[in-house]
Amino acid sequence: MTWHERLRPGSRAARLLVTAAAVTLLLTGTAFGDDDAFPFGPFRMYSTSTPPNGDVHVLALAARLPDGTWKPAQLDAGVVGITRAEAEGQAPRFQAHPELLRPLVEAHDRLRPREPRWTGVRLIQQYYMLRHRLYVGKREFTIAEWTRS
Amino acid sequence: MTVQQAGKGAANAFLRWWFSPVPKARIAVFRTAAYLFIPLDVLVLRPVSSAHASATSLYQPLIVGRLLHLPHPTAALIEVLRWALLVLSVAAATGRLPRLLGVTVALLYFEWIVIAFSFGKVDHDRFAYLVALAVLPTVGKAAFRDRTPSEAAGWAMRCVQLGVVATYFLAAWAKVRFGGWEWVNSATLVRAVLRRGTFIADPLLHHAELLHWAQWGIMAFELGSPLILFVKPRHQYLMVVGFVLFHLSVLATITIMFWPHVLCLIFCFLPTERLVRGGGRVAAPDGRTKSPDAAAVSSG
Repeated sequence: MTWHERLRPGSRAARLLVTAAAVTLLLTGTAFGDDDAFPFGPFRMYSTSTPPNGDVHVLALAARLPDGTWKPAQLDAGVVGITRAEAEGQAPRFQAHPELLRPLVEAHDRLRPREPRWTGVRLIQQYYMLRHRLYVGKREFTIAEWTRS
Repeated sequence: MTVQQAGKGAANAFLRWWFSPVPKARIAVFRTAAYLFIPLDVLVLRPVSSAHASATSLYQPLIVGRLLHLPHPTAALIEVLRWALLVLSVAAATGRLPRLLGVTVALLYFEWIVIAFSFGKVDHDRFAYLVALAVLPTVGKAAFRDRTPSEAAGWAMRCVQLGVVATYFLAAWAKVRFGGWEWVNSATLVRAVLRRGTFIADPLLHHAELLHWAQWGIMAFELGSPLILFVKPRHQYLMVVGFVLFHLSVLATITIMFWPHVLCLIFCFLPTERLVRGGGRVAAPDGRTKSPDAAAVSSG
């Protein structure tokens, strides 16, 4: 064996202990935890099954303009402060407490100061319907709405 | 051979695997790449924490945030974190004060990511990278031209390799846990393309059987990924190329790219010390230098 820099037995043991602890936490989180266990949670991106004849859920946003008309808006962090995936993660909260949509309108004021100020937003749950894995149509429902009073 | 001897042999093989020496130059290269990634990430690739500053009332703390009593993020806190990361990561990329700067950057970036992931969505492209930030400081000084094989460097690279493989293998586990074994026969990739498909991917919606087969391919690839830890270096390099191609195809079809993960994948498996020209000095304990070829044997 050629010469190389060795670790002292104590340093080796410390490293192995830390490794074992991290691996144990990660495996525990993978088996029993959920996303909030990050960094030791399950790696669950795209881990759920969509039935070949089921629905694909997509959350969309509509904004009310100063003249009272509604138009589709981008549900993205650069526009309303949170991403579509984040809004979907918190969808039950928005549904139960529509006043939580207010920060989205305020974030839009700050992030897009040159655009007309929104006077309200709607969260729209869209269902893309599949038959034999093929897209056949779309249904949608408003699940939460907040307007400036 | 007695049972005792066999046990001792296995223990030795286990230790050799965890601490197989790696040239310190590889750490120097990894360190520069990893720390320079932070400005790119914070400013361009994932500036989402900055956007969160406009919606901090939607913060939903993770378990780690509650356990460590991390403060509720404010716009000011996010801005301070951002500037601290920008300045300190560039300083750390120079290789100076590797332990102090390395630990500081690791803690700040962890807090940055915990904030980013506390708004309803957690991504999995950062696990290996967080492991890398955690272990890089443990190696200490490492110069670009220092090809001295080091056990400390070997352990650090092994940890990152394990982080990379865990990201694949445990993703397969999560699919079985949350989606069931029928995940492979579900329409999950149709969902992915419907939600975020590019012009390259959209035509695939008319050939859903291709997406169906791709799910079998992904599951097989993720379950088989640990092989990369145990094959010969030449095959490891080929597998790295294959893995990178997988990530590029995901980028081309649904615009998701595991940037920090791919950085780790490339820099923890490949002999990047060869990128450094004029390298090859190996410091020996008696102060003389040895010829690189005799001593700088990388065990991958």
